[in-house]
Amino acid sequence: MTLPSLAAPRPRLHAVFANVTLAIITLLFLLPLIWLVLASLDPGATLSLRAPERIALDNFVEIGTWELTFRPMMNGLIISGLASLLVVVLSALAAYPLSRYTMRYGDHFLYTVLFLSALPVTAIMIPVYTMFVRLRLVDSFLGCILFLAASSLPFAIWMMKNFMDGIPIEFEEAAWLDGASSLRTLRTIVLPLMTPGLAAVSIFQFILMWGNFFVPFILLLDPAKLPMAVTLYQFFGSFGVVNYGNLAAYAAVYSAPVIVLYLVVSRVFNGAFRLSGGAKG
Amino acid sequence: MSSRDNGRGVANAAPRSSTPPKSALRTFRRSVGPVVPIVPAAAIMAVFFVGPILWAVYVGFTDQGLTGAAALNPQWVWFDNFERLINDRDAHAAISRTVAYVLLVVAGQNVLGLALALLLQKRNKAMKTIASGAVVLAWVLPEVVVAMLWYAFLNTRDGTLNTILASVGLPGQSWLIDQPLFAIVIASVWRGTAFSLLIYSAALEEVSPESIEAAQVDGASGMQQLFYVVLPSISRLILTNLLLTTLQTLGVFGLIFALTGGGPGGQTQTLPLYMYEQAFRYNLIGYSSVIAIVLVVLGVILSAFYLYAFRKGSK
Amino acid sequence: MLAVATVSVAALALSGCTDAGGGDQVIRVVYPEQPPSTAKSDVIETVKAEFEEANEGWTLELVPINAADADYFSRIALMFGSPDTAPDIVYDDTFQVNAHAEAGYLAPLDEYLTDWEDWDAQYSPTTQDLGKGLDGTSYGIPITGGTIGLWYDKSLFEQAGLPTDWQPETWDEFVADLETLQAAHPDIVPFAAQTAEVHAEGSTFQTFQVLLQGTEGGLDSSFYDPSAGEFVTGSEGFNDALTLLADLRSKGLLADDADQLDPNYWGTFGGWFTEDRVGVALTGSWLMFLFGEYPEWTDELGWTPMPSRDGGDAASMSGGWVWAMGAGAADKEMTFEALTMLTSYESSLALALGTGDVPTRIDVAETPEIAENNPSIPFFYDLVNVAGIRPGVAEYPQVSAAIAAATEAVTIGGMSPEEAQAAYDEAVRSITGG
Repeated sequence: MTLPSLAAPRPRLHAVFANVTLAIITLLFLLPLIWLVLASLDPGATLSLRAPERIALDNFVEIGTWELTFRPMMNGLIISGLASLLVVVLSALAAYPLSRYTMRYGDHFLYTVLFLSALPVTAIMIPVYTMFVRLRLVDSFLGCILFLAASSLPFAIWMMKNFMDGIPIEFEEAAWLDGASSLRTLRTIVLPLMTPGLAAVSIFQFILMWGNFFVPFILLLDPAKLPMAVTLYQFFGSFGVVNYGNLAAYAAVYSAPVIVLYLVVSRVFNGAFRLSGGAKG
Repeated sequence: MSSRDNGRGVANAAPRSSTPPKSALRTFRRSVGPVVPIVPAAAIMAVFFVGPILWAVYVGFTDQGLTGAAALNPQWVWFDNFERLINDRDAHAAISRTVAYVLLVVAGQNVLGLALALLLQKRNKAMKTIASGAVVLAWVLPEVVVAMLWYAFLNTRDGTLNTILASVGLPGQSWLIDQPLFAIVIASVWRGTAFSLLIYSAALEEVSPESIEAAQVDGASGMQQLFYVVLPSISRLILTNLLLTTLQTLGVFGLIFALTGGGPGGQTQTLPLYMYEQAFRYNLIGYSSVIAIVLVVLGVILSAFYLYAFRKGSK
Repeated sequence: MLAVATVSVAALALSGCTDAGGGDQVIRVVYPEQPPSTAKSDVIETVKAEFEEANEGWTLELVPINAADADYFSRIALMFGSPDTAPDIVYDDTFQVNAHAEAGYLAPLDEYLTDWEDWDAQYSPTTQDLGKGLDGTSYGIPITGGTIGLWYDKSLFEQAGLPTDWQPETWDEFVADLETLQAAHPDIVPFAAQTAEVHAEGSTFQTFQVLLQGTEGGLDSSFYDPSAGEFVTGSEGFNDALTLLADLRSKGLLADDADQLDPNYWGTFGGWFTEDRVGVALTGSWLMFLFGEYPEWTDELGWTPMPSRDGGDAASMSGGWVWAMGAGAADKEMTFEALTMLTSYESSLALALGTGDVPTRIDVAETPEIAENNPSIPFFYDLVNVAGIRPGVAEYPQVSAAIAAATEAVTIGGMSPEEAQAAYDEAVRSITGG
């Protein structure tokens, strides 16, 4: 083992190169965020990049009204919260038999699900709108939640099944023999064992739904029902008359919940999303 | 090709290695019982996801409008909308533009995601946390926020990018006007890289160290190790990720809509935006349903291609 | 399963309570309002208070839509698409009235209007026509109007040796004067007008159709032939108008491409007037709202009509907004009652003062406050007599977009007028299926 001494400088060089490159990429990724941070704290902000003459929370105070901020935020929480809850419950139920039984049409169902998860939801928004008109589901939270849930279910079931596959079956076998029903086994044995997976699926779904613009933009019409995704667009869309400091503060407030969730997840589960566990083909 | 073939293909490719033997359970309640929990999810997907696709096919055969007489009494027009699509140069331009956009974004975020994953592999924890934190942050941000950030970043006169360029003595540009496609591609790559990074990081963890050591012993260079050992062993995940990112990118709407609105002069009008314009600016619900079908078919073709490649690759 | 049940119950409860607005005693009033402006809401709030006090048990529900024009039209069309969300009263653009009527979204108003004494007393026949469908039925009561004319900076004109009471007679004279202006002030933008695709109606209604109206035979022979009921292709007038734009471009009389393409260009050149950075602009009476702190504008700026190509009548376009009744309004008598309150002298006056738009009622137009508030109003009000209007046919939005593509092509895209017209003609043929 005399070779390492010769080879040693190279790995170190490699590490320096990697660290420098990573630092540059990280910096590049953070660059577009600088304006948001500076402008939100700058009462006289414009679209230009500049240091605030005075750092203040004026922008946040100014947007703190029910109609502008709190109502859309509540709407978004209701829509994304209930829809992701629905998705987690339904996908856990559906994933359990898919993971635990060999069913006659189970494989077909799974591949249909995988296939559906791949279709661009954007494409069906207009048919969904015309269909919802007939079903009288336009402009209702219920319609919006059901559609968000339906369009997220395929990928959620796929993720959920992959997480479930990772839970050893031995614990359940004991319960089965004791005569526990499958739903009870799922609830008392499987789900507690896959808490990280459940959290990953629900937070992943929540983040996607919170950021979704097109679905509520098409399906919700009453200004009183719009979530922040749409109100921010409207805010941003009124070019020229817009107060950019307020706009930046608004965007920061709108982004805050998902950033907090993300930090919580990465803290609790050590590392970024365990999405990978669910995305394996 | 039949769906059954595809099904078997994936079944072969993805044996449930992690699932324990099921012989003990197989005899246990083989009746309808196990299917019950699937029903609610399947029902919702059927009604709200498959339903609209079938509905789009129906509406595509009508001249339904959003206003005007065609909103009140839509007529069955057979293949008029399909014919229109064949003759619609703007739609063709939108399709090729969409393909270019998707290819650039998918290539960008996969290469960048893989490169980051490789670079991050043996770094210390602080570096990992900071670098992946910055990248994933871009991904969790809502799409309209991302659009706004890039609007400010690329802003004509004194946006962040032009300010930085000026500070090193380079001339600025009206990025959103002179390079609109570049603007939406880079904003999409910025947002999407995290997804690839997460998938590739997980994939690299599963590459067996032995095989890399073996290659090192054989005297393979870093690049050779990458191309002959690492990449082949994660090829399936690369394929999965390519498909997922391709389809995600195909459906991007809010980011482009809020950033450029499809302009200037339609230079960033991808198929989803074109569909929106036909439906809601020109009130042509019937025609836009045909464009929706095209988008879905594009998705189907890509998935089928993926499933085919998947099966071949695993043989 | 319990969780599913809870979610469904919660969701049902949510949809239930949000549907509460659909009762018979509620009249939903839908209108566009982009914060920070509250001009329309202020007026409607006042009407709401009066209406609710006079009619016990009735509520006017205000539904302000925060969206730019094009988005607003699709929003209200979507709302009309479902009986649950259909407005009872809607603030509608005049050029959308016919399409909305044909879709069955709007209620005919003739039987109510004949009994309303203000209708014939306060609305000129030209104004009344703005709220009619192609079938001649009235579907809306015009509330604000808008015509297009030229704003110009008198001080810049004076320094360039041009008359401060500028009245160009022909396009040649118009261009020659702009060139004089340019020679005297090389740093300013001589002529501001919207021509990019992104400006949509700003490029077509506010710019190109005004030019078309000033060509031989006007809009009827260059744009839409009402007697034949079809869009005109291959007309000389269309070529003349494109050629004018191309000339303006090649002579450097328009702004830079970056400004010309800016979605907010009209806001930008409005601001330029306060800094003497623009000579002439083709736009409406509302420009004053972009001036901010610039009280001197009433003296320093002038207005004059856009000339026709070869002289004669000036050219302009006229549009505006109506209050209309939704076809699904449960109690049409009461809804009309609310409509008359929304269009009363007081409401119209307050709205015209708040928006800077041209009033539609004769008594409001004659109120001195109007001209004191915005001295350009009498000028723009008079333009109604020469102004053309947009055809309210269902294909108009698509044809309009094809025009915007043509104006952008000749002013920014470097296309020749002939090429741009050929592309437009092809677009029109494909839109109308001809």
